[in-house]
Amino acid sequence: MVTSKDTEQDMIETNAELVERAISEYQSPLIGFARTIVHDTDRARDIVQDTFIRLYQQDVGKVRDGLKSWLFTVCRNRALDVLRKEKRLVLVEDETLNAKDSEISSPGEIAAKNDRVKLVKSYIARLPQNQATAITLKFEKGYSYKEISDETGLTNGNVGFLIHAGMKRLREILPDELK
Amino acid sequence: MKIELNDPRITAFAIGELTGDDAIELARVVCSDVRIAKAVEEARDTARLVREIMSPDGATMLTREQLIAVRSAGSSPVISEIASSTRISFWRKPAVSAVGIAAAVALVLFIVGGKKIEDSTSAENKTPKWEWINADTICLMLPVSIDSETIKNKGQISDAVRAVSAAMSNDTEGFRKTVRQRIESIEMKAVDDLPDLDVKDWQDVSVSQKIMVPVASGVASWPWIERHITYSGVLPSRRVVRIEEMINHFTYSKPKMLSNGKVTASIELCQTPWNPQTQLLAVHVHALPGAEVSEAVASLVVNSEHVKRLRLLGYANTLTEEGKEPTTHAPMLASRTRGNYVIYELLMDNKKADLLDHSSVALTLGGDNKLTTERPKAWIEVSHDMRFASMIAAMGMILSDYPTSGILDADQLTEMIDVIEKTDGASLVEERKKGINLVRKALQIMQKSP
Repeated sequence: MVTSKDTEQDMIETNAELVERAISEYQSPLIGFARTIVHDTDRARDIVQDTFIRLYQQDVGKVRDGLKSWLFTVCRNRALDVLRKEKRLVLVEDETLNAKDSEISSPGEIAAKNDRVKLVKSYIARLPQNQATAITLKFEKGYSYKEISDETGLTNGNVGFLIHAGMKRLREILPDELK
Repeated sequence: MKIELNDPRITAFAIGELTGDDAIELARVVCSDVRIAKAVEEARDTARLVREIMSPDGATMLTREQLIAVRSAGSSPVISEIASSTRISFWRKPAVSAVGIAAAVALVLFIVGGKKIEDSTSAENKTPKWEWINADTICLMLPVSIDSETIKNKGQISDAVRAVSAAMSNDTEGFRKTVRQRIESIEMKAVDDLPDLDVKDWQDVSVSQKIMVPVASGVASWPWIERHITYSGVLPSRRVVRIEEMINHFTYSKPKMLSNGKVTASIELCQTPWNPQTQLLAVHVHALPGAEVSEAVASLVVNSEHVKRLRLLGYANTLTEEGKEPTTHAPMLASRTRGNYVIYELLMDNKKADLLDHSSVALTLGGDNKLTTERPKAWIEVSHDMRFASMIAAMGMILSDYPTSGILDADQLTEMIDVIEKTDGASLVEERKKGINLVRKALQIMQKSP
């Protein structure tokens, strides 16, 4: 966060800039968080979309210092609103069972997904070894750059470069039907 | 922050690994630089795909449509109830719902109203800041000239068009950037609200035919076409294929052949590459620095004994009846910084085709200031600018099923591109290379379509 008064004027964010930053840093953790409440990925995304839209209405100066806290609070409230509205505040056990039922895939869907996973992994395998490793750790294992850096002994900067270069190459070689 | 397209921070930002001051700065760049914003979205698309496939809890990113909805809401945020199956963009809110383009523009007029706001953030800049920046996106994308049949209430619509026209003239680059950003964030369905323009078909040339040359073009077409082809992999809707706007998306060498102190202009004539029976006439008009843009006028005088029919490749209605003013109600102010490049197609009297010479067509800037054409050259002999502009026009004609005579199809267009790349290859600027790439992508989509 900017604290230097000399750069304060330069660092004044507009609403649009704040929302872009919020999307970048928080969309994934917010979706994960919302999903723990509503147990549905699509609804979780809707809730997070709504949260970011609400952020536009805020006074930047009032929310930017406590942005994370604000986002998670609004996200939680919206998620609970959804549950109340859809009268899904049922017994926890029932809710959990319903959620599990709705997310089970058919054998055909599972097979198709496995095929896609194999295919994408085969393209990742075509990348230089260090790029492939970094991308796998990031997207399959969910490691942060720091965790990848600790795991591999590479610097944070190197990790960022490898993932950037690897993703760019993947964009070029992945077939259209996978995109 | 200085950032190039190949900076790893772009990917880091896209996947949430950039924090603190770096994230603040990059968010600023994303909001101000369309190239960087696009690069971030591409990285996000790839990350989304890889993550959803490889990770058990894969779906942890908003979809592209959801991101667009978030950004669109930034212009006029209205919180609606969550609806998992519908996203309501700001321009579809009840306040903006329109029964036709006239209603939409009339509503915009309520916002624009021809008012000026003093730019209070800049003590040195005394230029009034038009409200056009807050105008409805549809208004910003209106074609520059609107004929009387489209207008329901001339007075109101012309005020809105004047505001946008002034913005296009005084702040061309700012206007282009704003329209592009809006187009990249609005829903695709917005194209349905654009007017379905009649292209100008062949018109007979009468004696003393005077043709006002359009001195400005809108800016919406090429960003829409890019969005269709690059982001959605589909051919663009006809409503967004506007040939003169496509041509003028690109920059051309400043014309120098004729000048009257206010305007400078050039003309060029060549054989139409797809039709040996017709000729293409390119006219390029540019207001000079310091000139009153309302004085930037140019017209063509066509010899009806040589030229039987002609048409502008585009929608602008500037053909006059003998002795009368053109039937356009939109003030077309020339840009202070960019010229306007248009192409006409001419059909000669068959018996006099060989007579096409300097007495056939003249460009005049008023008074005795006149420039006549030479005999038409072969297409391969004309300037880089005309070859490129006519190729873009050809692309527009194919995409919009323009009524053509001769043979204009994907093969012909490919051949034109090959010639341009071979003859101009080393001197092709980045902007034109990207344009050619987009044309090639469009051709690939056409080949895949049934």
